[in-house]
Amino acid sequence: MNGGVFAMLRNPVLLRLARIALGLVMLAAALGKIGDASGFSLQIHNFRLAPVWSENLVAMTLPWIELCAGLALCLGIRARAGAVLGFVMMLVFTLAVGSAWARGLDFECGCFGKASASHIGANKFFENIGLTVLALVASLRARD
Amino acid sequence: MGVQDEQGGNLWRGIIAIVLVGLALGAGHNAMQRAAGPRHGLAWIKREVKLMSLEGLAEAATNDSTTVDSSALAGAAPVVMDSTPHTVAARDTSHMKTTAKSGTPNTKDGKLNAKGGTPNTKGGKLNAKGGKPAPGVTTPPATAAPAKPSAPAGAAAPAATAAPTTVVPTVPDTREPLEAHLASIRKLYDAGVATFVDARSPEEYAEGHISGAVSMPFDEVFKDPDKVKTLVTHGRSIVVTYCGGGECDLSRNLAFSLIDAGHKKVLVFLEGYPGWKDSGAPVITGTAVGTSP
Repeated sequence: MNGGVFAMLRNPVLLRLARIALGLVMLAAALGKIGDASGFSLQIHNFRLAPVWSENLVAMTLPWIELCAGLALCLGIRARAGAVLGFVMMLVFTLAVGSAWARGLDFECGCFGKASASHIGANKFFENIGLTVLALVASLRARD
Repeated sequence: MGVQDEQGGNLWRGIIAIVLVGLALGAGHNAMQRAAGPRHGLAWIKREVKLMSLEGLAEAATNDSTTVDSSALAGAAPVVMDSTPHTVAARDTSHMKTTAKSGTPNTKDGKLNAKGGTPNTKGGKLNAKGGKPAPGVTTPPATAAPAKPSAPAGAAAPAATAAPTTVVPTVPDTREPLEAHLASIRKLYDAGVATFVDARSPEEYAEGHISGAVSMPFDEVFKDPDKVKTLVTHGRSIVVTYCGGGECDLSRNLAFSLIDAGHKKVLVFLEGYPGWKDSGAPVITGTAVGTSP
């Protein structure tokens, strides 16, 4: 049964669709943040997880890594590498959102820059879990 | 060794390539933005901005041996640092000194020396303009006791005949917000010289806010920075921002937005709404602004 589901998830067409979907999400998230790096730096600060000195470095580079991974996924060039990277990033984002939610912090998550504001909370947390699962599926190796 | 991707390439090599290209593009983009002008791009290493406190400034100004970091003080504006708070009833301006000639604080190595003998200071005080109150700061007439919209039960009412002795801290013009504690904020509130702005969400505002405070959620300002320009201060030059106290950063962030919008006397109320409420100061629920002195 498990082997059947796993084999189905490794279907090349399904994987391609999953990767394009993840890639589009990552592109949207990246472009929103690149357009407002200082706002993203502020949002990173609100999470209180990274040392202050590193916040700007993360804010200026992370969206570009996200952009490159998103392009790789959508264009199908080094797509699995982009998917693995997307999975790692989604895992980190989900843990960050969960941690902020658990600590009762209340702010705009800044996940998509200013393009789509959404507060830290259950909705955001479960949305991120969904994207993490999508990224996990996209990271699978296509069936030969 | 290596995990392969479908195209036969090494997976890890692909991941490293994406990360390196992303890092290079991010750093390059920021470098180009910084080259375009000082207001563009991010500082490579972020430093935590420690705000000066209103109380600390007043204390430093009274202490001749203390130097005051002037980096945040507005260069073009007359700096008013009245170390001896004036009273609402009868402001003694004799201790307030003369104007800085150029309006620019005299600095040395980034520090503004409050010690006597430094040009543009007199008597160890940073200068007030001709003994006048800070620009825009109005003080009620001596006979006008501040109205408290819903003073807590048991609060001592000011004697009707005696002159009120409430001292109102003077707020200097600054290029960064100042932090202030409950005691100072309460005096400004009672004197009716400050506009209070609630930086929390509209829901939290409706659950309870400082009576007279207007709602300006920072989350909305974050999305639309021009929103701070809609703040109506009714001629009050001092703006006090607050949120939930403790680790809440909304008031601090909003204060910086207000500074960017041109406000020069912006205070961050450290204890925030919880501290205000616990002190028994006037609060109101609902979306109505409420009354203030």
